[in-house]
Amino acid sequence: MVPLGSMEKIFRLIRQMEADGVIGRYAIGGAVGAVFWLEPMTTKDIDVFVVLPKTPGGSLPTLTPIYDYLQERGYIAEGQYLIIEGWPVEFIPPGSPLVEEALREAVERDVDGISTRVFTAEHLAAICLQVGRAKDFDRLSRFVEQGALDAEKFESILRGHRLLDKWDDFQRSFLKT
Amino acid sequence: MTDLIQQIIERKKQARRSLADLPVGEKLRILEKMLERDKKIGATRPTKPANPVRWKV
Repeated sequence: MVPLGSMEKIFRLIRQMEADGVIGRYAIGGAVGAVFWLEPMTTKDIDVFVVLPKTPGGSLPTLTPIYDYLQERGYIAEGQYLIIEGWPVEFIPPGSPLVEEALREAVERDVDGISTRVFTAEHLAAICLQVGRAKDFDRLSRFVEQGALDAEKFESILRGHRLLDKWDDFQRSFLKT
Repeated sequence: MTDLIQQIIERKKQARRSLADLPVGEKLRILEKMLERDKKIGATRPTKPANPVRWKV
């Protein structure tokens, strides 16, 4: 078996960042997160959703400690990304209650002996529905096609975040033959 | 939809299902290879049309 290359190092580094307190709870989302549940699909970056640790004095948390930590270790910033082992990695604080819930309920997965945390298939699919770009709808239809979603869990998430109407629209547009 | 198109769609679905069933480590290795290959692509950007289609908002 060929060992994982860059991805292994990234998973280890992110776990170390969490242990060092640079980031709070984290989980892999986006296309790389989806690969845990679906077939490999092309992507240009790795989305790491992170809870930013509380700052002393109660000032607003920022991404600066993450940039400082990684730049001290020789990684460079490029736009909104940090280039780690050749991959553009974006650290994203949750921007909606749905993503906050996805982070709380993310699951541990073992990849060749390395433990990492990833959004559940149901949360990834719900986020696709909420964001609603063409590539998100494409990914959502793959989740459905592969039978990767637990219907009860998925509908409960949609109900909790008022996405059931959007789900009906999506089914009418893309799933009905 | 013709039978032929239906068959092609079914074959694609089947291929995606087989890939999805691989162990995660294997799928991530495929992804790493895809990125490596993408980096090696050198292409000349085509010129943009003078009157491109735009979304009606």
